[in-house]
Amino acid sequence: MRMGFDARGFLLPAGLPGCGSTARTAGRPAALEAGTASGVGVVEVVDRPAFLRLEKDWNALVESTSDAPFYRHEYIRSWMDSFVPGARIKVFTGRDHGGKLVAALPLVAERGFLYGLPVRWLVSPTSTHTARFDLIAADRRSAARAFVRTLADDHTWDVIRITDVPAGGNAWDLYHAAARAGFPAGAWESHHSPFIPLPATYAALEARLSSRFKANLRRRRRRLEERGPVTVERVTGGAALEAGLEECFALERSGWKGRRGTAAALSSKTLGFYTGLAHRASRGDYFSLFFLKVAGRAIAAQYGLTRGGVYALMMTCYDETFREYSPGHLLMEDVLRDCIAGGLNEFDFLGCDMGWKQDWSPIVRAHHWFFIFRDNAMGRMLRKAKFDWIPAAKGGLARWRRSGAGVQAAAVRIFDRSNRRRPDMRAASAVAP
Amino acid sequence: MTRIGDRIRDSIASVGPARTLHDLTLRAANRVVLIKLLKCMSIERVNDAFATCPKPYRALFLSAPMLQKFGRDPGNEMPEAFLDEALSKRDECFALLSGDRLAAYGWYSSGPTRIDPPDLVLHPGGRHIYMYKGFTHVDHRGRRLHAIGMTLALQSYLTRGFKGLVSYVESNNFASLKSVTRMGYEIFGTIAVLKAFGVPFTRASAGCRERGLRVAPAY
Repeated sequence: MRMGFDARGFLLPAGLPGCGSTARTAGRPAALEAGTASGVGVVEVVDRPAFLRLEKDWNALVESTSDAPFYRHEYIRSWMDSFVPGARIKVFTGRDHGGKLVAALPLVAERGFLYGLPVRWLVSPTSTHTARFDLIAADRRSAARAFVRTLADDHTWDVIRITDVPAGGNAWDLYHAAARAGFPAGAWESHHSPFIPLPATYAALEARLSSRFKANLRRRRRRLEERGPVTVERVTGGAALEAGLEECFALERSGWKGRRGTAAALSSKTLGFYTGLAHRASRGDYFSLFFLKVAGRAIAAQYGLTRGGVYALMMTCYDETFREYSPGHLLMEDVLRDCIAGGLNEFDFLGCDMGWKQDWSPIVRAHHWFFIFRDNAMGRMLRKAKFDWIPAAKGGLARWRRSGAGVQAAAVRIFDRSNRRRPDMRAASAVAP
Repeated sequence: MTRIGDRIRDSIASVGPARTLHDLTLRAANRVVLIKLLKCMSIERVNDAFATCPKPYRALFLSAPMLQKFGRDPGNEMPEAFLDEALSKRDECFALLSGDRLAAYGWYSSGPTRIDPPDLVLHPGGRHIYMYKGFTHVDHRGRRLHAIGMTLALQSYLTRGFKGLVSYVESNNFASLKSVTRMGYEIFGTIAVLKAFGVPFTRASAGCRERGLRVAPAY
């Protein structure tokens, strides 16, 4: 790869197709000048071949920082290949003086509307299936400053939307740096994902569960065992992977997700994402497909990714004809035993805080969506609309509904009271036609 | 005089003569100079008795916008200036929520944190997290939420690779000392703080020095 140096001495891939140096300085807002001391040179990658070439460096950076599967190159690539195959990508990469990749922020450019106004979006490569997203950075502060500086000079966007950033994630620095630099910005609280910090033994974990829940699990397992031998199978790759995935997707489709039309098997994009990711993760040796089987028949499955001492539950499903045995919970029990035996630190449920997850853990991880608007009249107005006017209108509407209901309830109470005082009237109305 | 005598008698009855004398000595000394003996403690193992969170509470680390939202309610005792300082240091607030209401919280810091007197900062040292500003909303008191929140936060920090939590209680705050011991904290040393003519002096015991826990001037 031919490399060049920018004005500040940063090593940049010169003339590399798909890469553009964005180390511009002219016209930069004064508030961003401090960022020049950040020590991170930004290179923008705008085409897929260039993005693909980053894989090795990208994953080395992820492994040296958070080492979560969601930020890995193959994870993001699987999502892009399945959901936005033809989209224009804008991947901001940060390199240190030696040319080493020290930060990355993958975004996708798209056009759309916000409150009826046409806007040019830069969005994180995420959807309900990706679970989590973050800025990848060895030094979050300097990376955030450098990327915000670059984004300020880039006039191809109106709104940046970064979704599902965990509390304490690196992207918070990007959000704060953008806000400090004068960009209208807002954060919107999205879902809370439960997780279990895993102790050294399963007995210690069990001690934290409610007695009733544990008793239910024991009773249901005993009753399930009456229907045949109960076994747990784990598929991590190889020849069994394809068949295992098909079995898992068929099981998911057989349940409520199939009826609602949200099962992976019902969408070629979603199916492509989970299948592609499974193959790539399996090659990276961090994929697991667990099955709970009764007399050889799969009645529950879990699709999980294990990296950095954390098991992340991407998908779970069960055969609803076995509902009375809570097969999902029984499989959870077995997977948790496996995680603890493997010395893992955490079981991450991902997704929303649902009742069945609450049975296992009271601890949740908050996630947020960030919106960063271009610092112009439209950006300021859109920010006001999204974070002030619309919430205020919604709040007012909710209060009006509550007060409406209150007025209605008060009227009913007054009517009842007056009827109690005049029993003859109530009797009269009761017999009236 | 009678009132003071009654208070001394009550104190002897509840904490014993030695502790009462200790308390009286410190109070008398503090009329002349500021003097504090900080009992430093750590907890490195999860106490299962507090690792179960009663329903309907949910435990989590709060994000900056959530903290700012809760901070607007004075009943939550998180004024804006405090939040600004804590967030600028990247301290984390682990809280128990009841629905969308704040029930209890504690603050956790891996860096230097201002203590009382405010011109001194505590450095937690090593791979420990300093726990400070524990709070339980008046509507949720008596349910051991502080101990539960602290234990769940400890679980999270242990999985992140930290060794445990450290904290301190003033040597004459006998009720708090009893409470933290019940939670599973172990006292490992004392830091003496003396402030005379506006100049602070501190001295850490061997136990504190071993763990790298120290109190130093903020400047």
